[in-house]
Amino acid sequence: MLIACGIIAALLIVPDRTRFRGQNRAAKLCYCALCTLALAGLAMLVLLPHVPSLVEVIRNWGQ
Amino acid sequence: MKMKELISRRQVGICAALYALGCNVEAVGMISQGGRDGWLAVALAFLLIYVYFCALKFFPGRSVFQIYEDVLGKALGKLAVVGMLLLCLFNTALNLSFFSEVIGTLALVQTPALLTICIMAGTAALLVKVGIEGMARLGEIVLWVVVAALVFTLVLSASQARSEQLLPVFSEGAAPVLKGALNIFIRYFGDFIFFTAIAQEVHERKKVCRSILPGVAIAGAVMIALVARNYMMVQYRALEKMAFPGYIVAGLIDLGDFFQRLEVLTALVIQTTKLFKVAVQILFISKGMAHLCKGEDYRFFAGPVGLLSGAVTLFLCKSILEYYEILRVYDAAGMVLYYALPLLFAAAAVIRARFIRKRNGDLSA
Repeated sequence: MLIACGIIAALLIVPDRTRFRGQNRAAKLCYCALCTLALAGLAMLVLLPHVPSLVEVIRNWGQ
Repeated sequence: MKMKELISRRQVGICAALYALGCNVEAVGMISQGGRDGWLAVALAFLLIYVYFCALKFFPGRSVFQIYEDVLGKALGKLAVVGMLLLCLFNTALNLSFFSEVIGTLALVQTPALLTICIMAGTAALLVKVGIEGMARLGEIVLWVVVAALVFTLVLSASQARSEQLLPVFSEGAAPVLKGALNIFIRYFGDFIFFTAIAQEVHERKKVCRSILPGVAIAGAVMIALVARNYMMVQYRALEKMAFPGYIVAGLIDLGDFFQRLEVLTALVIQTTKLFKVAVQILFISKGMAHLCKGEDYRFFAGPVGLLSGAVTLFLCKSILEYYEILRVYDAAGMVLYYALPLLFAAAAVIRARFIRKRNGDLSA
């Protein structure tokens, strides 16, 4: 599963070199930030034994 | 180089139909919030989409991002765009979550949600990378397959449908129908605002409203018929308790040994239309990111946005019960973002237009 997810992630985020070079600095930074956020989220979900869902967080808000 | 993509009015109509079918109202549970007349609530909710697009007529050829900046000014407009992108990300995650629940509950029980969501989000992102023209051409082929599959199940279920279950109409008064229509609109049709990502690329921009409406009408007719079929085949109290009524009701079609397991057609429709809907929403976010960064190519952002929506989906909810729980939170947010904000923007736009007209009149005098 890890390998499959890794391949999908790599296919999606490794950019076309010419397309990457053609972007301005803000776009490049934004691209990198998005990739980092997405990969960090996925890695957390795969590696950590229990990550609470948003519903659980809302449910336990007052406690 | 600036991306120039143009699609015909017919293609926009087809994409609108697929997007509307992607709401999968017939397959989602708790549709019976309209009580006995839940099918009428769906019809009314479709009418609300028409009102929505009539409001967009005020800004022909402008994207939502440009409208926000026109109305609110640069700084506040950008803030509103960020809010809209977050809402779209949340909505995309909800759609992906529904898809993964359908797959996980009905077909691939042992398959981890992570994998189905990653594959779905990845496919949608690759579809966006193909571009709007490619998506529209794909839509031209897919729509007729989807409509044919739905009409096929509809026709075959006619012998088992009992029309008396729809009667008497308005037995509980009009209030539950109106409440149901509002709920359905907020949950399933309010996100039509994201469709402007495609609608602004139409060849004749001034006729965008007229291009979209036939597509929405086709989807609406099919969907209302399907919801009415559900009501005619199963008691509405039982429908309320089903997680995926459209799928289960299609499974009840009994034609002897000749045709079996017709619910597969419903599953095909759910997958295809959901994929298209998620792709349009990823397109909307990618265009928003390109707008914020002043980037020229929205396709550049499609990959990471797809992956991010997959990650958000996995944080959102972990079961179908949690999915329905999060919808309640979404209702509250939707009320503000789909009703209050567009109304506020429309009012601001009218006041601003009057102010500009008055100023121009003073200058000419």
